[in-house]
Amino acid sequence: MNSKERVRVAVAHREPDRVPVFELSINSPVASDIMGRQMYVGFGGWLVAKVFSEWMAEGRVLELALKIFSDWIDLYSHLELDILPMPTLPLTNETVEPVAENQWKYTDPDSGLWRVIGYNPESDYHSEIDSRIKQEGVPGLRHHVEWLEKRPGLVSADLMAGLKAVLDPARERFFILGEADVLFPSEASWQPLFLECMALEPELIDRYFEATTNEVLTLIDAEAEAGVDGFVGGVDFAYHSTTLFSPAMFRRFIFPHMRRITERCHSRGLPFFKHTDGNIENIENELLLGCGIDGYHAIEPTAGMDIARLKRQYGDKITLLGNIDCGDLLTNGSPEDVTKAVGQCIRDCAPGGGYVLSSSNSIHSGIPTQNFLAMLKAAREYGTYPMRNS
Amino acid sequence: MADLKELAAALMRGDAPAVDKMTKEAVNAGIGVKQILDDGLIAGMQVVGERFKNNEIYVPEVLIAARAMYTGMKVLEPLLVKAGVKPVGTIAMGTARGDLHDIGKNLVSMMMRGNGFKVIDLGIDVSPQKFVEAAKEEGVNLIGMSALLTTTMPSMKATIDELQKAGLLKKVKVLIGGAPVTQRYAAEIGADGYAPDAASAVDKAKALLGM
Repeated sequence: MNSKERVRVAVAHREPDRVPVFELSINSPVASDIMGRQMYVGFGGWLVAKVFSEWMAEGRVLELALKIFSDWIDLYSHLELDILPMPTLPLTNETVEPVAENQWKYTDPDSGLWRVIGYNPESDYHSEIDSRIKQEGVPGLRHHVEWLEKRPGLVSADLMAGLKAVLDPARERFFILGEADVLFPSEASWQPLFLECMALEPELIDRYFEATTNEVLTLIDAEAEAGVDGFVGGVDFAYHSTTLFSPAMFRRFIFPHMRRITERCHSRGLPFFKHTDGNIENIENELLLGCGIDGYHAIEPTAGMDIARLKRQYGDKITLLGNIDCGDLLTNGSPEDVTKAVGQCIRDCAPGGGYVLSSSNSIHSGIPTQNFLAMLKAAREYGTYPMRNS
Repeated sequence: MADLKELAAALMRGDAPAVDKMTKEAVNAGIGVKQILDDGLIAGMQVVGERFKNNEIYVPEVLIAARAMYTGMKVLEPLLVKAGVKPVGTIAMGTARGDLHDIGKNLVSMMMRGNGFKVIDLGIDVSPQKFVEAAKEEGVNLIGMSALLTTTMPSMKATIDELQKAGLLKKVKVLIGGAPVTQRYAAEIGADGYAPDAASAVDKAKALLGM
């Protein structure tokens, strides 16, 4: 059974030969340690802030994109992972200039919008730390929404051809995941402004989600044409204790667009998996069963998301992906602790299919390589069907 | 007659123009500035904090309530200084070195301000030395640190070690929080307190200061 078949069988809630294994991202320090060379992969700050900015400023975007794809496929092949998500790529028309040490300003020449990205080498973390929208407040957000409503589509024939070409070497080997989601700006420096506007300017926020989801639907079509096998939405909706906004706001702003996205994926015969950090108990039933999603990824145990309970409650309807704690266990635990947790997770969730093993977010830059490898080894050790203790 | 309960209610629903208007009306009606602060703005923000802690309201509602609170504070601050009203405590807050994510820290700042604390915002990516300098400042009796990342948590320990070396741990209490942080970790690194959320941080700060 190859990876593609293995994932399809598991998502269909049948038992494949073994539990499929996935990572949403593997950051460069861990990947480089494993491969013995500098790897241009993941969403750590070194790659996504420093390398993206420096190479873009030098006009080397295409070279970088090809390098990322090549390293990504090499890494996932080497680790024998079953699902290959689309890597983080420098896809933007913005111009880039350094503004301070480890800070770069990105400016969109068409809209005039700008943002500043900061990077900290010690933590390998990056973040948008300032922007025109943050500075201008509501008028800035209004300008952004107006721009989103009128700007030309993102999908070009060149992009389509490029995507097809770079996915070619991976097509037979992996179950490939494209990207699609309701684009709550969880990484933007103007996220607090956006949250305030959800309460004070709801019509503006309606327009934002309408415009961004319209673009996402065209991207789904393009990625489907390029040959992806499914989609994952990587936007975070929650933090460790609950969701960022109320169930009522989810019903108004998020769920209708989530349904548009899953319907578009399904019209292409492709599943949609939703990733989110955090505790989603207050919207769990509506999100997992009412929006047409096919899988729920991350399932952070330290945020109180109990995968054994989720399996009992939703396990026959959706696929569960994740739950091996990358906050404490994979970061600070021993390989033996990791092995034990993987065994438990597989015992709880793998019987009958509908489970894909992964960390509870990603392999971030603080995870010791030996713990990640212990997780993968244990997945093979305990993940063979039929389960001995099922 | 200005109604401070109405003022608190306007703050709770995030109605900044109403808070501005009612605060000015209360001042003009001759109500004591400390009473307007305590029974209007702080009373409202305390309810906001409780509701947030109980997941009855969420981040957007807290943000607009805080914005409304700042509108009222702007009216009251010069009068509070003139009347010699002291804050209940002064906390210097920042994210740990390497951590660039500040929404959690900002929520804690809002809750602290809404409960009568003076907040010195040190911003993001704050070095242990910068925390030490802040701890030396007159009136500062709390240091607040947050970390979103497991990779920046060690910087919290480095800061506490530096505060210890500088002999400041008798002057200030250290309160930490953030997604990967736990009570166990706080105890391990010698922090005085840990709070799992913004509203609890206020309770913990008050407890640490013996209030």
